[in-house]
Amino acid sequence: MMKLKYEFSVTYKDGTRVEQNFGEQNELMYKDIKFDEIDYFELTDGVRSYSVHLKDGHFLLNKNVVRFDLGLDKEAEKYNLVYFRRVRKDFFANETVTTIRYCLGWNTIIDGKEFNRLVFIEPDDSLTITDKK
Amino acid sequence: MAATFNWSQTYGTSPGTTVDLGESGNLFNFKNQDDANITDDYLYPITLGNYSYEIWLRAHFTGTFSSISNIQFWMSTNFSPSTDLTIRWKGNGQTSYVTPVNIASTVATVTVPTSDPGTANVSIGGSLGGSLAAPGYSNYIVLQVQVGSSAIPGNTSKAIFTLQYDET
Repeated sequence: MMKLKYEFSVTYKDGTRVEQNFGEQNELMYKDIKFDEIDYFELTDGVRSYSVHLKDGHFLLNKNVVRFDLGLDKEAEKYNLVYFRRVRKDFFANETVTTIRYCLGWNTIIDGKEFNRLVFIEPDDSLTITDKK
Repeated sequence: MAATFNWSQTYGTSPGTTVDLGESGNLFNFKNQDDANITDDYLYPITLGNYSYEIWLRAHFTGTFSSISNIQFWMSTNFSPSTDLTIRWKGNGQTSYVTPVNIASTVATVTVPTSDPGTANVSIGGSLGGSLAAPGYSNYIVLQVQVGSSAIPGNTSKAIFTLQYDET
């Protein structure tokens, strides 16, 4: 089975930390995360580390703190985790090439309007920051 | 765990026969025959001014995953030569199978996208916003080639298709 390049871990507000353990018997499925108890969600390949912190919405991108100013008069009341793997399959004549972009970030609703801040980790490990999925 | 992907084709008189085609290699051919055989296309050429049989595909996800959503499909590289060859398709909302035809399709009516659409264009459960939380299929992706009167006789190179989805 293909191993994921980036695996996630979740640190809850009570300090406990759980790891994805992809492919292992004790693998944590994304749907089983206690989303309301997340302090921060992290992706790492063992060298690089990217995390989103849901208390105030800041990111830690390879030890660099990144905060987004939405330019509004009020702060978000709640940041909701966004994570997915965007899997692309190109079907060539003799092979299928699979590439994966990892997305982590948050969305929030302020005055009825939805805001997203997302970081895509590209296949070459560069980062794309966007507000659109 | 991660989802395992296979192309699935349904062919024959409705309700049809469904087979998994695999994920890699030459998986289907446009021809004047409704089946999943990829080695006999030379026996069933599509003549000038006519249409291939529709090909009814679905993205089939198995294994263990949390969700599959936002399926996007496009043709990233056309046939060569492509003179007077048009691939039409349908990917949104075709929830039920209909016996394929080799006349102008009333299902595959829109030219297949040739670049990343940016948003879902293949439905799940009848909706572009749909998702899978367990092993299952997308809705049907229906393809048909129209061979115009100016098309160049003979085989073409393989077209290259791309499928993309979001997984957790």
